[in-house]
Amino acid sequence: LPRRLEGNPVLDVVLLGLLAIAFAGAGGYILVCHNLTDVVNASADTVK
Amino acid sequence: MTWTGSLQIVLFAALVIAAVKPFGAHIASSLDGRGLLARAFSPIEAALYRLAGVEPTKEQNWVEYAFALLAFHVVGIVMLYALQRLQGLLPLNPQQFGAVTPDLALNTAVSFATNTSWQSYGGETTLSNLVQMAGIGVQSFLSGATGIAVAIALVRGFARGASRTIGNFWVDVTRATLYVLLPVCIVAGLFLVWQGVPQTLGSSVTATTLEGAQQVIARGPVASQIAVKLLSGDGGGFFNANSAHPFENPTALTGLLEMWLIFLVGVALTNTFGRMVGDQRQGWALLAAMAVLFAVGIAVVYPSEAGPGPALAAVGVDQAAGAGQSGGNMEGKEVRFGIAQSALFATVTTASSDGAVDAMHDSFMPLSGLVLLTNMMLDEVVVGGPGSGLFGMLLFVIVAVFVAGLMIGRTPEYLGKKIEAGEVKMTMLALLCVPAFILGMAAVAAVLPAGLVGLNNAGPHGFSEILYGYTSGAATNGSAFAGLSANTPFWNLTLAAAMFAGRFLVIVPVLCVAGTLAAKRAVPPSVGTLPTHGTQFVGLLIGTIVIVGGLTFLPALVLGPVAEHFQMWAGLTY
Repeated sequence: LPRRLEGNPVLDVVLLGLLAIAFAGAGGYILVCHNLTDVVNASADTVK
Repeated sequence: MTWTGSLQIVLFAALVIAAVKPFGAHIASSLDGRGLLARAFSPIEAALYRLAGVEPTKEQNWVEYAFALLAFHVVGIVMLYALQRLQGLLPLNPQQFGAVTPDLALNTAVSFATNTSWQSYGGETTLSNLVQMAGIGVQSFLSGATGIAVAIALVRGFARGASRTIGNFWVDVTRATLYVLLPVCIVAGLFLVWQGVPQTLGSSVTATTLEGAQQVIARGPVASQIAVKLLSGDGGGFFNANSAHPFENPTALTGLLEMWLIFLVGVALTNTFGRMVGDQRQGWALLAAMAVLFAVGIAVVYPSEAGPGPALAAVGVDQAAGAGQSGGNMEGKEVRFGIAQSALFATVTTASSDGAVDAMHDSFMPLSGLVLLTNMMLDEVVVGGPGSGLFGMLLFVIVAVFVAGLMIGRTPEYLGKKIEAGEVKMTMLALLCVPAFILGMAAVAAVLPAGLVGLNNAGPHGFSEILYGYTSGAATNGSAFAGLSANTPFWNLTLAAAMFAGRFLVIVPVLCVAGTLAAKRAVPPSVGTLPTHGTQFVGLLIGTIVIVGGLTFLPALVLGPVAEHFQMWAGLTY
């Protein structure tokens, strides 16, 4: 199988690992946006 | 310029406008599950939900919607990556292609899952029929459907009041695929076959030329791929030459159809938006802003390509159009299509997020290249891709009403929803993400040897090639300037990062805005409410797009196409 894959299979693991990190980052980004809007809207309510 | 060329552009515009209302109504009713097709095929839809374990009546808040979207694309990217890497072991590979290299496989997987379709490979020499159909074709549908889903979710944010939810991602993607993209693709695919586009699972054929040489002619399931590549805003060609290849785009009629398909969903969604918020004039206002920006683009590109080039004029070449020649700049253009359609196709494909090409953009005059780059840099709002055009435009609407609110000292509001700090911050996050990646990565590539190694031209034209690459990637367009050999680990991986960021890091804040807006109650209009359906607002919106979206890139554009334009007139070419 590795020969049929052509290239170093370790590279596949590394690239898929990078992809996992990117998606984990995007997931974290969702939570940051969520918290950020909560904080912003809470402070906006306080000002009102 | 010729009158037939101008007529062609007017005819195209008329056909596009004619489709806005009927197709806009179709999308609105389909996404609601009320449309004719939705009712007729509801058993298939219900069976898909049962199979996937989806509860269609259970709606999601924006965080759940965003996580569902990300999870969906994790699977999509990994599957497309695996298909390419295991291609040599899988069936439907008549040409017995081996595995795609890891960096190229990742680039291609991210490219098609993000609706970009940047291609660092030639399709007919790299991918098997199985990968083309089960990998590329499937992602073309699903990435287009995702864009439509996100746009509809954002529209629900404006249309709903005091709602915690913005829809169900799985339902939206299923309906957008089944009722919006699939039916049009079936009809368009058959039309393309009628016009001469191949549709076969057979292998290449070998022909003997008049000179006795052997020529391998690639074939495959082309028509089905081409229909979806255009409608879904994907743009990835079955062949390396994309829509300049006679098997992808055999006649002037298919050329017209292809451009119409590229714009169809994007323009119709403005009407869908108007219907969903209960005022179709709001949709027409957005379309008017798109139309003005598009008209300015084609008004620059067509004369620029049809006019005489200074380098040829200097050596006394006759460049006037006549019975024996088309005149103007024919380098990199298909003789079958000529200057007018090539200029129109290039403007359409960069104004949308499609990226299919029927001429080589690298060979366009510098001013035309400036327009093509700017179209993409404006964040896909000049019609844009399916869904991404509408949500990109609505982000600029939020900025426009915010600016207007600041000018008159009132809390900005749009369609009765107050635009507050949270929405504006998320909007700016979405709008700044793309320029940050384009400019940052272009700067890095312009100084690193690994970035410069793929360039075919020096000077400002070479810089334009770099800038175009990252712009095309981060704006999820996918067209190439053609002068860049991007199949290297550096380009494959950095472009994959640009595409990932340009898609997902924009969609997340958009969904966040949808969620916060949906939670708000609509306030009734008052005498101080800014009307958002008139020419004044359209002008304000265009000004905001040009200033916020365009000026960000002005310094980079000056270093590339603007510098090249002036140097060309001074007799210096690259």
